[in-house]
Amino acid sequence: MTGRCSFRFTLGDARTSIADEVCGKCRRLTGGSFHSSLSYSPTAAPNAKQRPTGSPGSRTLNRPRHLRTPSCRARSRRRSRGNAVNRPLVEDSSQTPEAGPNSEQHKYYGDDMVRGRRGTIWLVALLQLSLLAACNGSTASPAQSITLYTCVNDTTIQPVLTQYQGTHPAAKVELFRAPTGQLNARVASDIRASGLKADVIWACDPLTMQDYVAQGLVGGWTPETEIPATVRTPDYVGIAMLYLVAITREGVKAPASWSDLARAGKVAIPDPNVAASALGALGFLGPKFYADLREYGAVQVGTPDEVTTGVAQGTYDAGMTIANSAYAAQKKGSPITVTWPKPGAVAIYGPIAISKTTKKAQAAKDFVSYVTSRDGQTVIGSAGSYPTLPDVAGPEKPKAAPVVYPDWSALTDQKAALLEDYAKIFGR
Amino acid sequence: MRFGRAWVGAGLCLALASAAVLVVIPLAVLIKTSWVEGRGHLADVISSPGFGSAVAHSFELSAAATLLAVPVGVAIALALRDPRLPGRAFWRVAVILPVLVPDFVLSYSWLMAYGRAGLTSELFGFAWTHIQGPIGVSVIVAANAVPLVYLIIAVGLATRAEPITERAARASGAGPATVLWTIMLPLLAPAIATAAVLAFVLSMGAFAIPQVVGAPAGFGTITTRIYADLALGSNPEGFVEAIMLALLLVVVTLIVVTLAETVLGGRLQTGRTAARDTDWPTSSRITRVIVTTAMALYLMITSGLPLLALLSAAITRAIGVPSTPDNWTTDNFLAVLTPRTGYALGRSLLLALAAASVLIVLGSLAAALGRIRGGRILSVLITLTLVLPGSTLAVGFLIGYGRWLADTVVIILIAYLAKLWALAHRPMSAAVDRLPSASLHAARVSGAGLPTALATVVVPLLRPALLAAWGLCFLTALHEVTMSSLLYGPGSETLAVVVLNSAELGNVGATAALSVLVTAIVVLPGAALWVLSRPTAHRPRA
Repeated sequence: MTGRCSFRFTLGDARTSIADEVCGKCRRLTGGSFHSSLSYSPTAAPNAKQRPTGSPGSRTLNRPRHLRTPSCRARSRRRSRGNAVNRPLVEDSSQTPEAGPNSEQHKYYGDDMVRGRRGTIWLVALLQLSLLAACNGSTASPAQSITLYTCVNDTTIQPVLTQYQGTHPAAKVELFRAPTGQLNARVASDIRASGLKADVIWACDPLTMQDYVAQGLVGGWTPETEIPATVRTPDYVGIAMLYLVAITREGVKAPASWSDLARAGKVAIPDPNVAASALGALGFLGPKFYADLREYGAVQVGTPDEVTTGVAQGTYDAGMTIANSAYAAQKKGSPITVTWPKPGAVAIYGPIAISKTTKKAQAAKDFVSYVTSRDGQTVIGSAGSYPTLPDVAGPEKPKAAPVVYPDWSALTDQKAALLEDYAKIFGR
Repeated sequence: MRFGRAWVGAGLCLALASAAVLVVIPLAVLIKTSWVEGRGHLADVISSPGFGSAVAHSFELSAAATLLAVPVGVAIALALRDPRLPGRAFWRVAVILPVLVPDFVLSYSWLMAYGRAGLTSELFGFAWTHIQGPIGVSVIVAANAVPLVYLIIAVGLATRAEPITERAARASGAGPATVLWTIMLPLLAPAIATAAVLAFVLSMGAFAIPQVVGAPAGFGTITTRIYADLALGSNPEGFVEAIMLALLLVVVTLIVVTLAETVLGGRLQTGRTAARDTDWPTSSRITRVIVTTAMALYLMITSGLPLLALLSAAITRAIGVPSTPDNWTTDNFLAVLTPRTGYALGRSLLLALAAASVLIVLGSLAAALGRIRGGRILSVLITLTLVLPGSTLAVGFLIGYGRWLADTVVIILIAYLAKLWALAHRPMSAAVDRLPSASLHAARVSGAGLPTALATVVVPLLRPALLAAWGLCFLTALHEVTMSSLLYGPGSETLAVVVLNSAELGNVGATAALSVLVTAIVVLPGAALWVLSRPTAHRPRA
């Protein structure tokens, strides 16, 4: 992450002195790393789809104009007025004398465009007023309300929220949950519209989280916890584990090691372009393993869940999938066998981090502290996910099941090369 | 049709304002984003591995699906015009069935029906090995587009009816083929063109079917690339590439639709008034038997077996266990029917109602303006949002309107309106150009204001088209998931969002139950609606 983050350090890491004063309030992209990863990376390690072009000059041109203008405050004040959820409790107007009612200095979009859109918005708003009245309840929230973005599904997240709000009566968590792709699109849209809306992000894989960190959106704080160092960085902590295991349909011989999987029959694997768990496996098992699979006629589907469904249904004889998904299907009665092949199931951790621009840092930290605590981990374990705190009970897992941990920081850099090798084998 | 200049002006203003809000601004936002952040990288996107094949696959798929869907849809519409066809009313409803099921559920249901270890393999020992691959994808996408083509052609038949010419040709000794070639097809040309354009655009933007059925054979399209760009990691590069690919789809659509509009648009419109008589001549008994059998077979293959497989998945406790009464369960339905889904269901119904109702106004407006230059540009514009994958369109709205409207139902409604405007417009445009302008004039001359004239002369004539457009939009909006799952916020979850939040793409049981539920919710009122609309479908003469 050296070259990639070099620019961020100049803006993002000095956030108390520069970023917070200038752009932190803006809750928009604070660091230049976002654009540097796109067009400016003279010293960058070979990371994802690195573009060879770009000079320092083009970087400056490509940056959103607001990062070059020192007038974010007026904007952030205007915005918070428009959105009750993000509105700070105390607005200190004395600190922002430049925030006059007509100060449209902050020009990410042209002034006329902003006005034009505002006009059309009112038109639409008027047209749809009746509907609004009918279905759009009050969005005002109590003081301790934080917004959580996650890709963890309802089965896990709902019990966690219920328990947390039960034990912390003053706290309230507004949830936005979507599959990883949708979540990424939402975050990317947020930062281009009015800044990240989430106070806390609970992602499903370290790659996605690392990208958020590289963009200067989250990180900078982790709680005191006993969660092992293998699943944490200075910016985020892994709070739930996923294990990529092998499944076979009834009557098919279970593979003792990953290298036996190819010969298990018609095999399905999840797409490493889509699922981070599959990318972790690709990084760990290497392209040769996949070439072997391909030779024996394996096919690639989308997500691990699709593999589970396909194998359970009999479309495929065997496959690689997530342990939770496999055990859930097995428990319901699907005719599948779950194996943890040697050298081990590939472990992927779901990390949590707080927003760098949150206005409710304490409430956000409280929530993160809770889910990393023994209590929180116990709830996660009983809700059907594997906790990361070693001695907390989770869902079914064979005793002494072998597990391997991919090197995620290396994977971030090798992603493009790995996927290219993979594309040669499986095509797209 | 001639309205007062003021009315035309007002209509045009309203239509253009809506187009600005629903189409131009989100597109502008996307273009701006890709320009500001991705400028100079277009070459990299184009030269990235697999790009060429994805574009080629998208084109092949759209062409194949259009070539399959249009003849089938036309054939069904023509077959079902025979008033003495046994079970005609039933066939007419049954053809629409695939629209009731969300795309990705439909893909699974086909796999469950025809794939390895599927329904047919259990029952008859037949498994269609090529279903996973280009052929399967094309067939399923085409089967999904047939209801649309059918609706547009049927509306065209109902509003452009000239059975007299057909009778005359028959009486003069022309065989069925000659009648078809010299009378029916020229008569239906505008409807066929419209349907072909829509089928092409829909196939171009199809995502779930290529993802679920095509991916195992390495058949990736532009839309599946967009999905992959957004799914893995969150680097801005992937995001911008996704937007650029989506814009590429828009450019392709722009070219295809503009071409179709300029080549066909003016030429296909006639000013002649349609006959009100929709009693088509009937065919011989043998033909009727053949047609009925063919219809039954077609529906069995494209809807019956897949939906049966879906139903069986919804009531079976786990995937892969035989669907015997021992293994039946209501768990999947109970998982779908929670208090939370109750609210979400209400919200979804309301949203779909609102969207469909606004859409038939917008669709009629665009169709009515189709004659003038501004109107024709409008009809091209509104097709662009149909081809944009839901995720990208939603991104456009979030960036454009998010700061004011994020987390409200309004932004979801706007997204539905934008996505489905073309679906509402195309059936209407296939119907409006043969409106009896004389009757409208007569009404105006006799002192009726424009609203009265529209209500008493135009609306009754356009009822089949209005109903078709309304139903299509309502059903599609009811189970829309991609845009809703990106745009919702606390208090604005739709039904599909709530159900999918407990089950990812790939988990079939609960989503199958959702589809069955949505189908039930829709089929009952839908059937009632169909009965009400029957006055336009004349009963056979005894």
